[in-house]
Amino acid sequence: MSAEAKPDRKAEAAVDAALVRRACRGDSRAFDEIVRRHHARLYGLIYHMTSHREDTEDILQAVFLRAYRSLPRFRGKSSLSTWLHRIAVNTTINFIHRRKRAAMSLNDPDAAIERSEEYQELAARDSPFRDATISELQRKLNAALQTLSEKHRTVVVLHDIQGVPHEEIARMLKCSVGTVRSRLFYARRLLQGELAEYAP
Amino acid sequence: MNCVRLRRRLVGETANPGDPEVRRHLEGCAECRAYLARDAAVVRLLALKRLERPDPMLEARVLARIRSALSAPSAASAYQAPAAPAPAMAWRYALAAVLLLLLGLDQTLLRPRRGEPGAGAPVVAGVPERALETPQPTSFVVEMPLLPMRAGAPVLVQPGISTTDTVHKPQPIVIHFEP
Ligand SMILES: [Zn+2]
Repeated sequence: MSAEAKPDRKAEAAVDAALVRRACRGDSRAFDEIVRRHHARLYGLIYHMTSHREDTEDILQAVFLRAYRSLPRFRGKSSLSTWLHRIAVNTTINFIHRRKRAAMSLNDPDAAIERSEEYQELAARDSPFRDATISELQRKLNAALQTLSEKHRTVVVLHDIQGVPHEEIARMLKCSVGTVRSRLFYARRLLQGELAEYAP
Repeated sequence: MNCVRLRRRLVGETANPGDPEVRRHLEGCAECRAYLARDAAVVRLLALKRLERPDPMLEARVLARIRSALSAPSAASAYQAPAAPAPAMAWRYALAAVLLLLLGLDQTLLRPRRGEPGAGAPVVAGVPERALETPQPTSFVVEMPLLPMRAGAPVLVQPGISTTDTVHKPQPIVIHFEP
């Protein structure tokens, strides 16, 4: 994390704290603003955990409703973002456990990615991407992620996909930084096996 | 440093690939070099997931769903005090209960007399934080002001998704060797 990112985070946390106070007083626009500020990151976390778009929206709604009801208990010891991520992780894992009884269906991959500039750049540089279609890669990736236990998948999604630093993940999951690093190491080793054809 | 320890430290970002001890190990260990190359490939593959974005109408849908759920009549009763006090608080509650018993405080002494403020149902409105810090019998009702769902309120729709969080992108471990 760069040094100049820190004041931004502080400012963001101050804005969130003010929104929480207003929302607790019943200001609906403040809660709308909380949703607006945090839904995209939470959506990413939940979607990468479930690989299912409709489920993701259901879970996201449940997360915000749970947050709304628990807002008076939010003490501000961690940032609102950390707190919301914690609720999202727990809600998603509960959902996955319940859903396990029925088959988990993975969504079709997003074809729009193939046309994205970032993907074109990756495909031009890396041979595993050159030789496979994006749909194939995404399907394999989603399937590989689903082979991880929820706690390992959570760490991979947060760190390797969402770019959350180890320390912040430890706060979100209420575990030690060592545990986060250890889970990440183990999960990436498993993924090497699952994705062997692309990570020879 | 043995192989597993070195891999753990590099993947966990507690070792610097430029560190002389790390470099020496890697120069002499083809297995670790191969392992780290595979790890870097996994990291690059995972980065593809970042390209998957929610559609631009997500925000409007989420807001609409939440507003509708909160305006449902059940939303008021859905706000509940925690079923059990947190373990750290539990012993304090137990201690308080014992002290109350020892002091011989009869329940009638605690009950407000007719006409006094506080008589009636134990409803705590507007101060849910205090209510939640107090031991709650299971039937205790905590009222929380519901978000007013005004008809005709402006629909706050912002197309596109923006995120204010700073993203730390994990980089594959890249090690260059002199021939
Ligand atoms: Zn080695």
